[in-house]
Amino acid sequence: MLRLPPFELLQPATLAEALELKKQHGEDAMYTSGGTDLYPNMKRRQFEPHFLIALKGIEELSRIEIKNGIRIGAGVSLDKVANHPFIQEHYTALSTAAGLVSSPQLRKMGTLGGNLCVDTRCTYYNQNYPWRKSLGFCMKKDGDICWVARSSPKCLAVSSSDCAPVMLALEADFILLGNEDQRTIKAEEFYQDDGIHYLRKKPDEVLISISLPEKSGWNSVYKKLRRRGTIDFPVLGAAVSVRLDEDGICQDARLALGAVSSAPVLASKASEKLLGKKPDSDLIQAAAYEASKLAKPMDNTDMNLGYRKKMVSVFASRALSEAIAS
Amino acid sequence: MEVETASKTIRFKLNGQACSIASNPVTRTSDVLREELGLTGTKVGCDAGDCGACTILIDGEQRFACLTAAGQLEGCDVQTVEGLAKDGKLSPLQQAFHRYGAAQCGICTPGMLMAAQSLLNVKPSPSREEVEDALGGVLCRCTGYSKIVAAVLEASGTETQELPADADSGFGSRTRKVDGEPKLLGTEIYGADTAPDDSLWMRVVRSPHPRATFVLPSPEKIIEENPGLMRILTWQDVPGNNGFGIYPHIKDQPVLAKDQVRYRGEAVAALIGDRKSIEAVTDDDLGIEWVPQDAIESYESALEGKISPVQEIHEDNLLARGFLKKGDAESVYEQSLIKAQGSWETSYVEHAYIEPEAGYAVKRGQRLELFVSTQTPYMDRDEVAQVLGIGPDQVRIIPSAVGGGFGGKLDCSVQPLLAVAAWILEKPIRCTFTRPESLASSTKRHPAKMKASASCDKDGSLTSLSFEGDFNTGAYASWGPTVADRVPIHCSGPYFVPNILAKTRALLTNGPPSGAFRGFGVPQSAIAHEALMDSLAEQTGIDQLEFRLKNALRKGQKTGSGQLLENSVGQAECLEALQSRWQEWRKASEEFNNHSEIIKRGVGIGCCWYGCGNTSMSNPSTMRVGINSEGTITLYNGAMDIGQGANTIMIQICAEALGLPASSFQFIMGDTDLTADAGKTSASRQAFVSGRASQLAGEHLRTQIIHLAEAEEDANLRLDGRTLWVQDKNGEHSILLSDLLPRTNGDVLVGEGTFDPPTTKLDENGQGSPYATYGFGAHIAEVEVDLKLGTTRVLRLAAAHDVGKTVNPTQVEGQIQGGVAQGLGMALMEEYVQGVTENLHDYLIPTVGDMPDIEILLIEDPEPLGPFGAKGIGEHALIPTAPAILGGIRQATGVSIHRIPATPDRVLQAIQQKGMQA
Repeated sequence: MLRLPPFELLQPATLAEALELKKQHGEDAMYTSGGTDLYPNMKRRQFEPHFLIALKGIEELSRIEIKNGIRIGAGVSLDKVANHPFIQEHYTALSTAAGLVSSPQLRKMGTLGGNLCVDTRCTYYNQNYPWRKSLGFCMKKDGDICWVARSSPKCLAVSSSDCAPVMLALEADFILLGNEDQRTIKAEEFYQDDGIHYLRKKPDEVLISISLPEKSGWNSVYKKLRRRGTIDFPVLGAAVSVRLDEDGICQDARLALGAVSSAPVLASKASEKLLGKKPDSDLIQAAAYEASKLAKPMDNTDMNLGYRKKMVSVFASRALSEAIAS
Repeated sequence: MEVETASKTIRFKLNGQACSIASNPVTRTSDVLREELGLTGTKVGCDAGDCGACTILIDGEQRFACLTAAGQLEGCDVQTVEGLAKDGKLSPLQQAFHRYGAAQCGICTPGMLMAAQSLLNVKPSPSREEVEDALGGVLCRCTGYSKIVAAVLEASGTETQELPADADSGFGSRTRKVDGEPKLLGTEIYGADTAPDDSLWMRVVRSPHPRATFVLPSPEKIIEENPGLMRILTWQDVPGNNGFGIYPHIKDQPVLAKDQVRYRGEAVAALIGDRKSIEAVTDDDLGIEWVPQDAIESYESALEGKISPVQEIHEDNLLARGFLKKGDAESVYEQSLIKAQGSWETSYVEHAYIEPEAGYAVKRGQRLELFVSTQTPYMDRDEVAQVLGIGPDQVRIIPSAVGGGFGGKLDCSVQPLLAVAAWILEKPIRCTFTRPESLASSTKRHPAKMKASASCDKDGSLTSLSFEGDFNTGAYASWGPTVADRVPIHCSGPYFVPNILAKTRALLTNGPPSGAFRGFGVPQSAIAHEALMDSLAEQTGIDQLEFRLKNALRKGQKTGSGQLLENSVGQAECLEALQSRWQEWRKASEEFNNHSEIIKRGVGIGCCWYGCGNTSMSNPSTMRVGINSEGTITLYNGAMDIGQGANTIMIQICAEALGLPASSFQFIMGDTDLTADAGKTSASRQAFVSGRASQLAGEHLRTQIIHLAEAEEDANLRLDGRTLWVQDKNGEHSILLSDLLPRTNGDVLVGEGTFDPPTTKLDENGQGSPYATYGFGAHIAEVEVDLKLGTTRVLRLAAAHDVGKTVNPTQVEGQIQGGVAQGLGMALMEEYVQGVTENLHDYLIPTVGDMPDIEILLIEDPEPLGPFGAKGIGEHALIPTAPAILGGIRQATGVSIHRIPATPDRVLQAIQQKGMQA
């Protein structure tokens, strides 16, 4: 059945009010912003909160501040991120990734923060309630087994955010506000490779903004693999940012992969191969191959896992080549 | 926990007017608009943000109404499709949609219009790419998007396509859809859009297991605990036969399963009550005890006999067989020097109409009235009657507008359940399937496992073709026997083949029932015969198009079933029409490949033929046309319009025969109390069979008028209010219609026409004349394959079809473009996997950006039996697409794909395997 379970929508005007509401309702409450992922998941009974705390409408979450880089409020819509001229110029990979999320309607509704926190996905999990029940619930919701790999002690659902790997590549800091304090965490530390506990975010914390360092002289690229040109979640994402000197020598490089495990993965060893060198196609291939070692796709999203594994080096190499050439 | 669901006042602007509603702020905006404000123009296709049918504008920007909480509308400016027209006049965008025929079934139209409007609001002159981007979140299953994009571009003034400025309405003209305006205004009423005010809702409880036995505990306690829940229907409540099915002698699918289920999605109970209650009571609350059993989910397990059969009466899981033998294919093949063979496997393909199954039923006296989205009101009538154990004359089917069918709405879905509920509760009952429910429970295209071989002589003349195909027909018969029958006749393609051997089987499995889907198995078998043609052409050194042209069926030749083709055989002309493009495209792709290593292009070709009408069966249609005393002409059209345009073309044909303009017609569609039985909208038969009946009805009415006026046969008719003027060489005669006595439905003059296409039975070797006429066609497709990713993009496609005579070019083009889109989906991305596919986020149909430019070439070799020479196009349009695309992949990569759809992982695997061999 595809009806929402009963719940109450709480619409705080400020972050302080939102935190207070969360404190009050604890596990009974969830934060929501665009709701584009949460509502369908609630219809499938993947989440059954009694209260939804709407972050939409909290003005301070929708600000964009350009100063020593950029600070983007978590409530800024994906559409705005995709079409923001400064982001397009300085953080191309981010505008590309935001513009490739799902469909135009969803990008108007969905937010950057929402995409960065989007639930992990799995063939056995993204099913409606009776279906999951008939198979036996999996450990991500209501059960204790992982149907993808029965011996797995942890959930293998896949990180399916387009923007998350970009944040790793762009050295983003995430700013979290909780009841006790505000803290800043590096993008790569925000995620962890566990399909259930995929965010290192305390339940009360709200991702309020993303801070990107100044990136002049860098080129960044995001490439997404999916079956159709629109709507679909990434089957694979590759984000690259590089800085070359005037002679084409690589001064700095970061490569991150999305949809290869429960967290976006920073391929440091791969990008290190490029440092201090003038990347040619052999070197790029070698780096891409190194990156592919990190990907451990499982048979739980679109297309077979052997294929998805193979695609990692192809995508990494293409993203690197494009970033280096541009 | 009790959650407070108090109403709150929400104020916003709706279509320019201040609007204030008292609603629970968590209610979906789609529900608020449809249920609380009665604005049913906003459609719900998936309820999950996957299809875009519910797209509305909030503060000028496109949003999903199904994912927007009503509370979020506070202070917003909301615009729905109902707000586009001003003072009853279509907006420029709506006018462009109308002119281009951009709305076929019309169910995606409101979403498309709003998505397009959101773009035009900020970008009055967008590029084609910007239009495609803006429409990227709205799915259409009918049009192939071509006419939609063209209409948006015209409305923006950036591009115009050559269309006659103001189309006249005669036969062969681009008459606009007679039912087009309501689809554009959002006022068209589909299955879920209306029901009597006091209707109760029905929710069907379905099996989550592919095979299981079950016990349903007595529902008394649940009903007691839930005052809004009126009843839980089980198999015991079915008053007549608890079984339905397409064939009169096979009613094997239970309305409600008794104690065992045979596929995931089978109905076991139905909750009846107020909407809130039937939604609040969960399947878990019913306490059904399921005992899952080993399921038969492969051809092998169906044939092995290790697991007990799907249905007890079919011990070997063999539902039906088909057979055709002409000459001695086996020994000719053995002796032949040039031969080709291969095997192919295709998947379950879902119709994915954007309108889920919906309707309502109400008991009126001793009659049952059913308002439903259907392709076949008369079959529904008979089916419902036998389920209720009453006479067919006690059932009235009133079809809603149909938001897409493609064969999927030929089978019963909500019909028997609604009928039973309304009959025994004596209350109006309504039901709309959810998308996951529709996907799980509805019929699919048969998956096929095929083996085929063919041979030719050194000059390239075909000498033999053999075909063996197993078709997975799922848990219940549905149209399985039809597929088993139709495929042997068509599996040799539109070619003259002297020796043919064809064997088909329809196998029962614990999968969803496979039914009718645009082509009844022929699109699957076309993949096999076209791959064989390519291989033989290559071996003989003859160009692939020329090889097909050389072997094309022609007038005076006999088909595989021994039928002499006397008229309307335009296969060669279709191929000839494509010749110059074929050479040009092939050259262009070769040149491209010369300087491209990783991206390779190829051009492929596919041909089709398809018999119009039911196989070796009487399948008559009767159409009526009347004039009333006011001078209104009504066509009583029993030929369901499911978006393809039957309402429009039947009027065009009838008007031509009658000699009065189509613009003076109104119509009634499919109501079994008011129209005659025109048969099913299937098998590409309506334009041909009901078209001919419309022509005869028009001629019959004309004859009466001429007779009344005592005028000459070739007289001109003119309608002027209540006066009918008849002018011949002797002068003008007038008939005052109000002077004539009314007959049926207030009409004073009634014409009726019946046409039953002549066919003969097939003998034990499949020999006979199964169809009165065939349509022919060929597609060429240029594709681009990324050798490293295995991804395929179709760059352009040209489609040539022999349609006999074109009744309405806009509609024919729309059919072809839509067929190509479905063929493309079947070739590259569509695959329903029971227990995995959940909604439209994992059943992928082509989006606007996945479609190539499509060029259409209409060949007219008139069919004397058809209305003014016309014949069908509905299914033909899809058949050659997949073979052409797969041929293009072969040309581009050198590899053949044998497992369909050709998803990137499969294509890449084939490329790498070949690389390893080399």
